[in-house]
Amino acid sequence: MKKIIILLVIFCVITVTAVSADSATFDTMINTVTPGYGEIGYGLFPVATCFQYDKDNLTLIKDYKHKANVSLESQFYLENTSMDYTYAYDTGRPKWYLTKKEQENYKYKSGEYFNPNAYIDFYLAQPYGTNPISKGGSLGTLYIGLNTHFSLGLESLGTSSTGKGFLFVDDKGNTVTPFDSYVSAFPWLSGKRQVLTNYLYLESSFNFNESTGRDAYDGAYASVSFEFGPSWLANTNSSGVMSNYWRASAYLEEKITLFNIRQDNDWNWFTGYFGHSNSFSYTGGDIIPQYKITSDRLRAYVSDRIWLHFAFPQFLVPDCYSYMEFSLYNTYYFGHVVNEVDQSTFAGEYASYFSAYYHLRLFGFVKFEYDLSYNFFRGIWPSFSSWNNKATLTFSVTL
Amino acid sequence: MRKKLLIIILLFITFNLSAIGFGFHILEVKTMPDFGANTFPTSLFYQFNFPMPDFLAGNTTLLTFRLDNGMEERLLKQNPDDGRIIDNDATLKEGFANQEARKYTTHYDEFLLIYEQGFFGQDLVKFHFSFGGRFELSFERLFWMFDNKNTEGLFYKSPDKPRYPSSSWAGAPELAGNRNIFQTFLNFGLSFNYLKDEETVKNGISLDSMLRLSPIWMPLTDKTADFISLYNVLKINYTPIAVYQKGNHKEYTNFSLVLGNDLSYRWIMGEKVPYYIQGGVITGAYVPNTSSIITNRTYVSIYGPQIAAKDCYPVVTGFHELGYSFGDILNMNSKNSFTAYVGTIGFRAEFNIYNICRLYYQMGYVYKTAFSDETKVITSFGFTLGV
Repeated sequence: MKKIIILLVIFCVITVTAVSADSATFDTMINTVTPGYGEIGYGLFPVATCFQYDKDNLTLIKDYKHKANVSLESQFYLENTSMDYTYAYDTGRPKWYLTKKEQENYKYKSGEYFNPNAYIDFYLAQPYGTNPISKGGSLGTLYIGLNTHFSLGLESLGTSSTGKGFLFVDDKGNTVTPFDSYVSAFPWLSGKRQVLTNYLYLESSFNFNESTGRDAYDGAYASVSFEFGPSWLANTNSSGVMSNYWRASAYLEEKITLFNIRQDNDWNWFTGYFGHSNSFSYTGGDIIPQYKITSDRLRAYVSDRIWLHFAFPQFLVPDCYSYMEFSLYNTYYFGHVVNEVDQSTFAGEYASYFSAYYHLRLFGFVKFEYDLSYNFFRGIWPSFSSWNNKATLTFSVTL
Repeated sequence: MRKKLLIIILLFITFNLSAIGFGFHILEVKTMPDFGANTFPTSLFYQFNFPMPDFLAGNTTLLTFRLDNGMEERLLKQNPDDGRIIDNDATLKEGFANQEARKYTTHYDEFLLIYEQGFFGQDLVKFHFSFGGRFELSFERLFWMFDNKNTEGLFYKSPDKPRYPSSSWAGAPELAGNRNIFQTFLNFGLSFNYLKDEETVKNGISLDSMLRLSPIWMPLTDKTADFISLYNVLKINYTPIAVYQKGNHKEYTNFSLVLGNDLSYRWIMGEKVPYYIQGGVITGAYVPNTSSIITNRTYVSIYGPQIAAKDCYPVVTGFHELGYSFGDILNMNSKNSFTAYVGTIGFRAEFNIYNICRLYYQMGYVYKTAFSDETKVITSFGFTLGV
């Protein structure tokens, strides 16, 4: 019955939004499920699908100068997820917090599982006020939204080819410990492992900037947001509570344009700006869902970023151009460990890394991204300095 | 292989980018019963049409890129070792203590680059040509080894016992080896369209024919497909009764009755015919996979009031579907002629919203199956999205 009600609610949301949509966006991302069962499609075919409907020009307040919009986004994606053996499954205590003697009684489980996920995100956005710097546009936008997320915890794809290597069951299909009861540190792997979670969110942005060229601004931008996923919001199933958390976040950035060279037709030739930002996030609550787990499971972080941004010439059409960013991130993570039963562990760690990022946009529907980064330091769970790189190709279509 | 595929995809992208901007699109969203009870989408089908100058005045020229990707549940229909139809062999059927174990899951991606040209004014006749590729990865059904009631799988009879240890997978060529396939194909199509706008649906007649070539020598293919197929569909619609609204929306109807018939003939020749091209499915019944299949759907639709727009209405459809298989059974080691027919009657209640979203409830009574006198009632409830 509960499923039917949720189904009907989602039907209604989809229906109302879809019917009223006068623009729609479809995205599909190329990604891989690794290592899994070989690599799906040699790593060249999409394993994630995303589509989005938007309805613009809604009048919520009569005669108000700013129109609202609603958006509905749905994504389906496949993952091969590793169970993190650095946290005791019964207590949620991190291995790095224990002495060698305590580690002898440490209960952990390691292995991979197949993890199909989907979510539907629905929000209403209402701009307000007037930007005092640009003397036009809105001062900010208020967002209120609902996110519904569903995931399955299944045996890894590799078991379909080998017939062995099960994580959740033995060879007779009997659920093994600890998955036969509520898994405190990994609640999404408890019992049925079919997890529906929901959260509400409220967010506001503030614009104190003006555009000086393609992707370039002078001024400041800020946002604050609050997420709320309590147990009573259909976040409890027969295995127990799957989500009971809240999160507060804040972000502030400042940008100064360094140069702005235009083409004869006023398209961008070369633009550069310097940016600085700070962000803060704190996650409260006793059950944090899988997709909201924080870095090293610490509840809070403060982050500082400085970067240089260079936008290169627009060519053929306005939405054909590329840009590069060179960034230095410094982040301090701190607080208690989430999903730890007795909340006895308090820790802090410092992380610092450099990133060189390249972004190419072609005709608005193909985006290529390449990110090369170097980790200088990662504190609590020591890792050596290392280079990382990642490339992403995204198709995006807007009606 | 990886490099070749990457080059092909980049060439596709580069080629597509030579068209500046793009036009309208088709979208279809599908769901799976095993994933969130059909609530969350699991696959998406869409295309973008690149603007092209019309080469012939009064007719449309289209260049389209289409992508279809997602996950779906399938049922094994033929014995992988030799191609015998499982439902036609009591021993094979009984080999599955749990018939659920015949199900498996496939993740797929298909892309197509299509060129289409209309002729004879207002696209009365259209020709299209396309090149495409399809990747598939198949694995056990989602809930295999989920608990002790689901230990029997399709590929593993029990966790330590492969069901089909033979190296021969004639009956299901796409499931051979690591069940990871990539195939390419060419399509040639011709269509005749004499449909005219009416109150709710277009009335008239249309005929579509498509020839697909996916021989073993196609570039980039991993040789898991080897077939030629010809698919023809004849559609006829007629609206004998329409009662119009009064007031501001005189062009809208309060009620209309539509009679229709869809007739299809599918012919396939080849040594390796993958699951996705087999076709010939009618509501609730399996149409055996032979070289020739005819399906026919006759229906009567009663349209309710058009609300707010012409494409926003409730509709109830009563239908009768018939499937007829004849010729050689495909994917069999030896030639075996086979003839069977299946039949279903039923109704479908649907609410169509701006031709974007359709909420439906459908019930069908399968009064004739191919292999026994067994009858069954099937119902389904859900939504489809499409632009």
